Amino acid sequence: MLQETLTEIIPREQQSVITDILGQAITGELIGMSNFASLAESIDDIHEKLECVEHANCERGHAEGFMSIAKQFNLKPVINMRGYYWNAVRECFLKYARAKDFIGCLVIQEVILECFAVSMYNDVGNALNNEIGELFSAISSEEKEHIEHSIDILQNELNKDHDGFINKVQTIHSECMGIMAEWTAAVDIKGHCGVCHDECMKESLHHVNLDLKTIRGNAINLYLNTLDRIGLPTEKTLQWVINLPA
Amino acid sequence: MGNQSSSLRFALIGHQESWENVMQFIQTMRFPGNDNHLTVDKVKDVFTYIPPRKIFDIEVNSTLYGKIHGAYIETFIAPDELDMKHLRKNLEKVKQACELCAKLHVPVVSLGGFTSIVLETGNEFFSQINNTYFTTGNTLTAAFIAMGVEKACAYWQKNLSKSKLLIIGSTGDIGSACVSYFSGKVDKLLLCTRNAGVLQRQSGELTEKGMCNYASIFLKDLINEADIIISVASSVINENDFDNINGDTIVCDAGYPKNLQSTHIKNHERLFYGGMGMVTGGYEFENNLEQFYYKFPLPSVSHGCLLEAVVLAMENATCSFSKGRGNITVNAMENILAMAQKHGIVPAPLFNKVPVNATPEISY
Repeated sequence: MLQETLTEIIPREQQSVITDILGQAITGELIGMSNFASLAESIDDIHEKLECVEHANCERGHAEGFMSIAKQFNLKPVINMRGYYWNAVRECFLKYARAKDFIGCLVIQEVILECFAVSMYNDVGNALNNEIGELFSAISSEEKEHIEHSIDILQNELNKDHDGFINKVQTIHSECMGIMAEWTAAVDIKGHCGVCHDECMKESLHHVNLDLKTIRGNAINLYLNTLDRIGLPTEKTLQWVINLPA
Repeated sequence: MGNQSSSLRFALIGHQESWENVMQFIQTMRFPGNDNHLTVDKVKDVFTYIPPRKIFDIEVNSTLYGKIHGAYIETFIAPDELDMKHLRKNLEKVKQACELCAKLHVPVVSLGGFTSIVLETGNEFFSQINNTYFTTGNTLTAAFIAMGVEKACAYWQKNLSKSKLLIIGSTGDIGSACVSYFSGKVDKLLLCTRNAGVLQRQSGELTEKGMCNYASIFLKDLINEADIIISVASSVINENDFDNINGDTIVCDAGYPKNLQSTHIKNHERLFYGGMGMVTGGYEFENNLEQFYYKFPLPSVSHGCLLEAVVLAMENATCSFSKGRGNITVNAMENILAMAQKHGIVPAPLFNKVPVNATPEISY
């Protein structure tokens, strides 16, 4: 296919917000890639180690996919893994990776972060009626597999040590979901994320028929449903969410 | 009380009737020391995205057999989204709540308030899922309404047989039950509902049976003639039609949320909240949560629709006792009432205002 037939013209008022959405997606995928790479180092089981590398490669592919389509549409997203929120998420993960806490790492990467990715990519995919939207939808489906993979493992952990596992997930929820809650609040609680070009893209989501409440709500819905499927007590997980920063 | 799903004998699926109630419930779940201020707007942003879930266990005492365990399942339907515009979304939530009850192996479940719509619309799939039976709870609610009206007439010395009874929402499931019950017991039935065709049919059937009645889709055509009013409409009535209501008219509001919200009617001396029962053996929510957001001026009071599953569980009569629309018979009302009374669950004394520290203006 010729290059010029692939590229549609993005309306001017949408360019900035789509660029920033891609920036967040690319940065998030690179964080995921880095997390899986770190996880590969922390675990001893050979098969899980191999699987982590495979996942890291998958996230690399996602990042490259988003970068490629940005280039195709002549968009220049900011990639910043040191922005406040992404850096905080990475640091949170590394704390558990250094402690060789495989389960803790799984909860952060394959439950919390993947729930946000699956849900948000799905919303973006539904909103953008072009190739960029199609790419987001496709990657959302792939990310779902990561969640599915983790559920079985975490169900086993819950069965092995019911109270211990619940306490662990609660701690991780407080740390990592707390960061995600701050990032997705109506106003960035801890300041500019370092990825959006100028002003926060939340103010411009309406240009692409998205709104923050729906995006955040859908992510929380998927997260709670995932915790339910793992088997965590629903009264507790509800309480955890109610106590997130708002 | 624990969270062992295998010991659950009943479940109650419900929703909150106001954002005030929601905030009270939310506050009970805040960690001590969490000083992040949570406004109602922030709660509204997230509330409906929360999947239906069990949020606390309940213990109810039968005066005959002792305690039975159940649970409350919250649907997280927004109090201000109970209209047709949100019907599809709300139905989906109720269905998820029903599937959760089946997963928890609960034998019998009441669909409280709006959630009963899945059964009233004739969706047979949700009368039973595996070994879990669902009931709207409308039969016991109708029975409690009928008893309440009779009590109120006795209290205020109004002769029922000489009275004109207005039923707002007369063609609904509970409304139809009230029509059946009071046919032949009152001087005249005044019927009001939104659907003119269905209303006309109801009126015609009553006329054929020799029951004096008058029907109108306009409340103002009926209100001044009414000696007694039962309001069981499916939506809040914010009309000025009640402004000129006669001072001695008895008003029974059995809606959830309350049908009658105007300040004028809330101050009406002869208003009581109908469809309520009292568990004389007492009940308790886990962590005493009932003190925070399920409180009434009288102790151990609860909605009839919720108590129906409790009664069925106490009787080991797991079945879809109330379903569909217009199927409630006087016989069924008497049966469920008798079952309830065996276990110490009786029509609640009359009351009106909701806050805990209000002095009941009426007592029985």
